[in-house]
Amino acid sequence: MRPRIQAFFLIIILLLSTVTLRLAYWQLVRGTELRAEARKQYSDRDIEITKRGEIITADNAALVINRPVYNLGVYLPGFTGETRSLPETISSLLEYEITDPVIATDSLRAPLYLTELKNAASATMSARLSKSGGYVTLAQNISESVKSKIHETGLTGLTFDQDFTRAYPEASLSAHVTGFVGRDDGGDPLGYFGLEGYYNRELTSRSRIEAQEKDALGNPLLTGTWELLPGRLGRSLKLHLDRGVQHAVVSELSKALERYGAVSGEVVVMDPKTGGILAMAALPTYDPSRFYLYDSSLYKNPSIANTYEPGSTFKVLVAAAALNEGVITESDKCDICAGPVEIDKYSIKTWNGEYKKDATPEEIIVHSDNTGMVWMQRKLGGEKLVEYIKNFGFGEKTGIDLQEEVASPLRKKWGEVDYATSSFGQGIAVTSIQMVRAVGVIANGGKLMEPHVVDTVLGVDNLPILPKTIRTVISEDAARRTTDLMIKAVEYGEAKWAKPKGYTMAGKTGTAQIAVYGHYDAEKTIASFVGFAPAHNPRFVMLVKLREPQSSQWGSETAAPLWFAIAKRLLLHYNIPPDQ
Amino acid sequence: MKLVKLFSLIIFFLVVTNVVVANAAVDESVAVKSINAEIANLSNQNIVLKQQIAALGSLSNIQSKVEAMGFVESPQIVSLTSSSVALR
Repeated sequence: MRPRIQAFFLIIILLLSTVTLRLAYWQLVRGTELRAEARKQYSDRDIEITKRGEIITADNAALVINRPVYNLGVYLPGFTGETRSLPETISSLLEYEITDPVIATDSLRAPLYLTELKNAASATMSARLSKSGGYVTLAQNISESVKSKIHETGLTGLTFDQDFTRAYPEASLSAHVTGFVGRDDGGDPLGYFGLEGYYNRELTSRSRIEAQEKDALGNPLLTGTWELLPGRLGRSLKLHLDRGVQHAVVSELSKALERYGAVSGEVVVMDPKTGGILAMAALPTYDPSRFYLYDSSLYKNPSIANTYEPGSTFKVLVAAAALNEGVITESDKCDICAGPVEIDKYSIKTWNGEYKKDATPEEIIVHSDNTGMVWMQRKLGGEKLVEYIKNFGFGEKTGIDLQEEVASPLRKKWGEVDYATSSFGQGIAVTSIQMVRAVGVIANGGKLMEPHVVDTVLGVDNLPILPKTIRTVISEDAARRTTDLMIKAVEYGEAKWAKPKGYTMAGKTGTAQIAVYGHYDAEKTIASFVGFAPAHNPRFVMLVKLREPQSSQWGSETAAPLWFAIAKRLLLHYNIPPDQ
Repeated sequence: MKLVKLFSLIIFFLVVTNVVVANAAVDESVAVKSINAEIANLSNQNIVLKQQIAALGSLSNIQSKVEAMGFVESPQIVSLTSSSVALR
């Protein structure tokens, strides 16, 4: 009897040991994994996609905002409808866009093309449904209105995962300033070009993740565990850019391109006292919401990413330097202006072949006399000229808060002819923003400012971007005297016919030939006009550039009228009364 | 014996409290879920409305509507000065 009891007891011990070992296996070896699996069943993770920061103008108008879009999916075990007819039902409710303008405007081809798109979407959905028995994505980036239409069908088991995409209420009005949002290698939103690229870190948001225990019906268990990874809304940007000014600029530039037959055009408007960019436009442009349909060469903002030879607009800077150094006065007379100036094998001539002996600085600027500029440069000296060119901010980036700014370095070796040609803006490469900033020095009493598009970064704490003075380039007196020369250039220069009556304006025309394969093309020019108004208390400094105008190659007949047309609208916009 | 009775009473009280609190929490959780859904819905509506307001208030939209109504830009702007205004 005793051995049988012992054997029975041993079996019990063995069985208990097996159970204990098995329990130890589940609890110690697989415990962590099983606990995680269990948590998955009763815990739910809510991921709330937060919005990227917005971009608003100085007058609080939305330039870039967010639009909710949805990724439509179906969880097949929970879907009660007819799976076979689902693709047909959904595809008939989706919105399709014809991106090819030729097809979109063809009344015969457009309906056929739309049917093709619908059938393709339906076929894709059918293929996905046949491959999976779980969750299937049916359509991506559907709009709020399509979502509502799908809701109205009463289909159950469909899911709508929210995401956000950029919306541009003013369309392409300031595409070159804002840039656009694409995707990075990981599929996350990433800003490219302009403000979106430069301020990507500030604009980027972080999703809010909330993990909470829930009951079988999905109600939160308030006594259960709760974890929160707080999200962060993207910071928004408030700009110096004024929507009304930008609209006026784009509207006038668009008309001018048509009127003068120019290939492209640019306008930059800056507040000379703060460096705030009030408007910046370039045509042709692109639609940032459909950037992928355009040539990538259009993405770059030409005002900060392309260089050009400024031509005669540069003369006012050399005159300012000469006046500041005291090497010329208003009553001095040019003693080399009677004819072409010979330097080595080169001959410096005037633009119209007319020469004025004993020309004064005023006459030199008014008639845009190249020989007179060589006289001023010689008075100033080559090294001083280069020093002033650097001080006016050429050869370095301006520091504008846009992504793709470039700066062409200045030449290292200067010869006498280089000094001479630079004095009238040839042989030197600048960007439009550099040129506006440099002329802004004259408008701002001699101080060089750092240009900024953003006024304030808005967030939990607002971060104002304060005006930054880089350096004082010329004295207030030299700035005032140069302004007087520029006023005379407007009043008596080649573009005097276009000037609006009643206002004192300071400006200078420029016509630069375009260098092609190492030499200048006589037919292709960049016509420009730079100036500020009102001359004695400037509200804005503006540069206008037209590339290859066909009606006339001269800045005085193309860029200048455009400049004055915009200036007229801006003075009205800022409610500035006439001062004459 | 008194101590046993006291502990029994406390245990009973705690059990009842637990049941009542858990029951109330379930009711609250339903309300929380409903409020969360309402918040999400309202914030979504705000985003959509903001977008619609921005689109309707855009200058290009206003310009096209104004032009359709027959308004034109003034070809000439007259500035009034003291000499051009009757002073009495």
